[in-house]
Amino acid sequence: MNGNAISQRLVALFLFGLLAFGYPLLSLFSLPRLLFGVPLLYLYLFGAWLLIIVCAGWLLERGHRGDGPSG
Amino acid sequence: MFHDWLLPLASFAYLGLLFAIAWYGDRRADAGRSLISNPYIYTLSIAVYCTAWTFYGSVGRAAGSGVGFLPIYLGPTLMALLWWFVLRKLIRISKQHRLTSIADFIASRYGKSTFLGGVVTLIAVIGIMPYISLQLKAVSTSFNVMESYPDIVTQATSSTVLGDTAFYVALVMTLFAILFGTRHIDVSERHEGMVAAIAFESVVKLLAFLAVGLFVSFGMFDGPWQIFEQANERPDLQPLMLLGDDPGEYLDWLALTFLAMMAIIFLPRQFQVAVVENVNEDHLRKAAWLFPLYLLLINLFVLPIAFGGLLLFPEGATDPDSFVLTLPLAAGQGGLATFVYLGGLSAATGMVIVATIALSTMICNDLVMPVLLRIRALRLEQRADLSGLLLSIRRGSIVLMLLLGYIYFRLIAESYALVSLGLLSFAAAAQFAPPILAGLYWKQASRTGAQSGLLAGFGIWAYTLLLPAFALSGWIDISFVEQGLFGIHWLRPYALFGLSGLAPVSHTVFWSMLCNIGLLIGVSLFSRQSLIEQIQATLFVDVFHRESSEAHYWGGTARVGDLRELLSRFLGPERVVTVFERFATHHGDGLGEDDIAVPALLNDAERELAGAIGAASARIMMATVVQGEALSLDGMLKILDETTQVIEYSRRLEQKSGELEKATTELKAANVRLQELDRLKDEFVSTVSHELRTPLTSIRAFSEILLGDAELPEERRSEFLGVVVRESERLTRLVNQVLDMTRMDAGRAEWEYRPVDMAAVIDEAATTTEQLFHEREVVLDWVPPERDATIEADRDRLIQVIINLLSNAVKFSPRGEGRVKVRVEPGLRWVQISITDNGPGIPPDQGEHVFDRFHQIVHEDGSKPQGSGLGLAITRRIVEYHGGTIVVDSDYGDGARFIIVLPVTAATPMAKDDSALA
Repeated sequence: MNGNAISQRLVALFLFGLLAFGYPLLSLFSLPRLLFGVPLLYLYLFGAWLLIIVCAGWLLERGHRGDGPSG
Repeated sequence: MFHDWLLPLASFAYLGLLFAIAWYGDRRADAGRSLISNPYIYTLSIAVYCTAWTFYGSVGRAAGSGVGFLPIYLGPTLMALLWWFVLRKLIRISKQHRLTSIADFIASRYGKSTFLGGVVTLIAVIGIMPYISLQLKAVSTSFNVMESYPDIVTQATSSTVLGDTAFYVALVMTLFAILFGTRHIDVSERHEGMVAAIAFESVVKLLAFLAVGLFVSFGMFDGPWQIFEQANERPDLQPLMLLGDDPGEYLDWLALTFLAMMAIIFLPRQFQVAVVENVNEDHLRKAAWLFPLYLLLINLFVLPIAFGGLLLFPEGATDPDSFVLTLPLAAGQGGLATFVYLGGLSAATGMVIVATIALSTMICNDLVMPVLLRIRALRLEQRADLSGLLLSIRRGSIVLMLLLGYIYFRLIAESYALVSLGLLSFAAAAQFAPPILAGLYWKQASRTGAQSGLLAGFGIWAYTLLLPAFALSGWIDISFVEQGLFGIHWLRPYALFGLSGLAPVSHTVFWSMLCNIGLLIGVSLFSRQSLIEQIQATLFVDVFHRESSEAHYWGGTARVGDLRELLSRFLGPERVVTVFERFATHHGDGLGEDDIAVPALLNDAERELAGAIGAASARIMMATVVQGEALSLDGMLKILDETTQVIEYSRRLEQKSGELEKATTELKAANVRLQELDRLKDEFVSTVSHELRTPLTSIRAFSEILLGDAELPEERRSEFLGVVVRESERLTRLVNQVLDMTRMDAGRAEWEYRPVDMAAVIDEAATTTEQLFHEREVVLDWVPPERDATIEADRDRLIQVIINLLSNAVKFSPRGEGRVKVRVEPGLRWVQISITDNGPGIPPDQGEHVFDRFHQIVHEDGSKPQGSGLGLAITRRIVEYHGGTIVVDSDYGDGARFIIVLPVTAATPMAKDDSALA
C-alpha cells in the first residue's frame, strides 16, 4: 500500500474520531442507563476509543508489511 | 503507619534504580548498542505524558465531573493518528537542522531569530511552572498521606519552608534532574540513558495503576459493574455518569480535547522525547497506535476507583486526588499502597526530569547564550573551552526551574486541584502550535507574524488564566477578577469582552488562539520575509521534497583551523575530531589547518554547533569565523530554485499544450483547404466537360446534317464544314490549354531558360495577333523601349503570355475605337510590362478573380465574352513560374491594365506548386 493511501485513511479515521468524541454524537449516549453493569456513556467512550486504536494499528502495521524488507 | 525512615528509603532506592538504568543506557549508547532503538521504548518514553496529574489527578477529576478527565487522553489519541505526517515532518526537520528544542525549532524556522527563540523560552518557562508545581504538590501530598495515615492530611504545605515536604521533594528532584540531564561533559542533544529510565518509569506507573485498579475493583468490590450499580442508586453520584445538557459543557469538552491534542506534541518535554530523542522516524508507525493503547489502559480503572472512593469514604473526608493511595490503605494493604506511591513518584519524577532538561536546554541555548555572546566584554569567543560553561548554565537553569515551581506551589498551588494546574500549562503550550504548524506547511508565515501571534496569545493566557490564579490565592486584589482591570467591566479576565458561559480554560483557549492564529496569518500576509526567512521556510516546508539539506548558503570563507577551534570550544576536542574525520571520509577532502573550508563543511559545522548551542547562537558564532558575505547568492538561489523549477516545469507543460493546440488549429485549417481544393477540382472537371461539350455538340450537329442531307448545296456544305473545322480547332486549343495547365500544375512542364529580348517577344506576339486586331478594328499602340530589356526566360511561354493578354485586350475593346497600349520598362533587376485597353474594365469585386480558372467576367448587361476561361489562369502560372507577378489595375468602365513584373535573372523560378489543382 502506498504512503498516500495510508495517510488518507488515517485522516479519515481522525475525522471519525473527532465526530465520535464530540457533540452531538456524544450527547446521544449521555443516558442514565447501565449496559453490562457499566454506564452507557463510559462504554461508548471506551469502545470507540478502542475501535480507533485497533483501526490505526491495523492501518499502520498492514501498510508496513506492504513496504517490503526495506521499510 | 510507616516508620519514618521507610518511605524516604524506598523513594531513594527507587530513584537510585532509575539512575542505574540511565547509567546503563548511556553506557550501551557509548558502545554503539543502543538500548532505546526500538518502537516500544520510544512509545514508553512518550508516555512521560502521563504525570502525577494522570496518576492522582484523573481520579480526582472523575470524582468531580465523571468523564471530564477523558478529553486529556482522547485528544492525544486523535493527534496520534496525524503523527505520521505532522510529527514525522517535525522529526525530519529537526534531524536535518540539529534542532534541540521547541524554541530552537521556532527560532530556526523564522530566520534563526534570537529574539523569537528567547520569547518562546520565556513562555515555556512561565507556562510550565504550574506543571512542575503540580508534581511537587502531588508527590509531597502522597508522601504525607502515606506517612500520617490513618490521620487525614488535607494540608500539603507546612508553615515553614524547612518543615515542608514539598521543599525536600524539590531538592531531591533538582539533584536528580542535574545528575540525569547534565552528567556528561558532552553537551550533545540526545540523552539515551534518560530515555531508558523514562521508559522504565512508564512501565512502573502503568503497572502500579493497574494494580490498584484491579485491587479496588475486585478486592474491595465484586467487579467494576458492582461499583457502577451501587453508584447508580446514589442520586448524588448519578449525574457523574452523564454529560451535562448545557452546550457550554460540550464546548469545554472540545476545548480540553484541543488542548490535549496540542500538548502531546508542543509541550517542551513531549517535543524532547518524541522529536529530539527519536532514533528512527519509522518507530512512529508503532508508537502511533501503541501510545493510545497505553493511555487507554492507564485510564481503564479511573472511574471504578473514583466511584469506589466516593462510595466508601464519607463526603469531603478524603481528597479524591489521593483515592489511589487511601483506598488500599483503608483496606490495610500497605505494600500495595507503597507500590502505588512509587508509581506516582515515577510519574512525577519522569515529568520533572524531562521537562527541566528540555527547558534548561532552551534557557541555555536560546536565552542565556545569545545574550552572553553579544556582551563583548566577556570575550566569550576567545575562551578555549566553553562546554563547561554550557553545563553550568544548564545546571543553573534546572535549579531555577524547580525553584520557580516550588515558589508557585507555595504561592498558589495549594488551593488548586491537580488537573486545573496542569491545564494552565497546557493552555500555555498550545500557544506554540500555530507558529509551528504554520511553519511546517505555509511558507509565507513570517517572523513578525509568529512573533506577534505568540506574544498576543501569551499575553491573553497570562491575563485570563495566570493573573486570576494569583488573585484567587490572595496575592492580587480579587476585585481585578470580579470587576475587571481598573474596574472596566469588559476587561474581566474570566469574561473578556463580555464572553461568559465558558469555563476559564475554554475561555482562554478561545481568545488566545483567536489572537495567536489571527495575528500570525494577518501579519504574515502583510509583511515581507527576509532572505534567510525565505530560505528556512523553503527548507522546512519542502523537507520531504529534497534529498538532504545540501543547501550551502554561507557565502564567505573560513580557515579550517579557525573552524576546528570554534567547534572544539563548544563541543570539546574529541567530538570535533570525530566530526572532521566523518566529513573527510564522506567528502574525501584534505582538511589542512590553513585550507579554506568548503561550503559543505561550513554547513556541517553550523549544524554540529546548533546541536550544542541552538540554531540562533550557532549562526552568531559561525559569523565570527566566516569572512566576507554571510549569505551566498548562489546557495540561496539554489534553494529557492528548486521551487522555481517546479513552476518552470509546469510553465513548459502549459507551453507545450499551447503548441499542440496551435498545431491542431493548423491541421483543421489545412483540412478545410483540402476540402475546398477537392471541391474546386470537381468544379474544374465539370466545367471542362461543359466547355468540351459545346464545340462537340456543334461539330456533331453539322456533321449529321452533312451526312443526312446529300442534296445540300455546295456552298452551304462548305460553310458547315468550315464551322466543323473551326469548332475542332477550338476543341484542340481547349484540350491543349487544359493539358498545358495540368502539366504546369503537376510540375511536369519543361522550361527552357535563355536570354530573351522582351521587345522581340512583344513584336512576335503582335505579329501573331495582327489579324485579330485587324478584324476588330483595334489599334495596337506599341513602342519598344529605348534600353535593352533582355531577361532570362522561356521564350515560347512568354510569347504565349503576351498573346493571351493581347487577345484578351482586343476581345474587350470596343469595335472601331479600341486602342491597346503596350509598354516595356526595363529596370536593373526587374522588367515591367503593361498592357492597357480601353474596354469596359473589370468590376472592382472581381479584380483578383479574373485569374481563376474558368472565370469569366459577367457584366451588368449579362453578356459573356467568348473564351475558355483558362487563358489568364495559365498566364499567371507562367509569370509566377518565372518568379514574377501579374496584377490587374482597373478603373471600372474605363479600361483595364495588366501589369507584369519579371525578374531579369530567373535564378530561382518560383513554382507555386502548393496552389496546384490537385
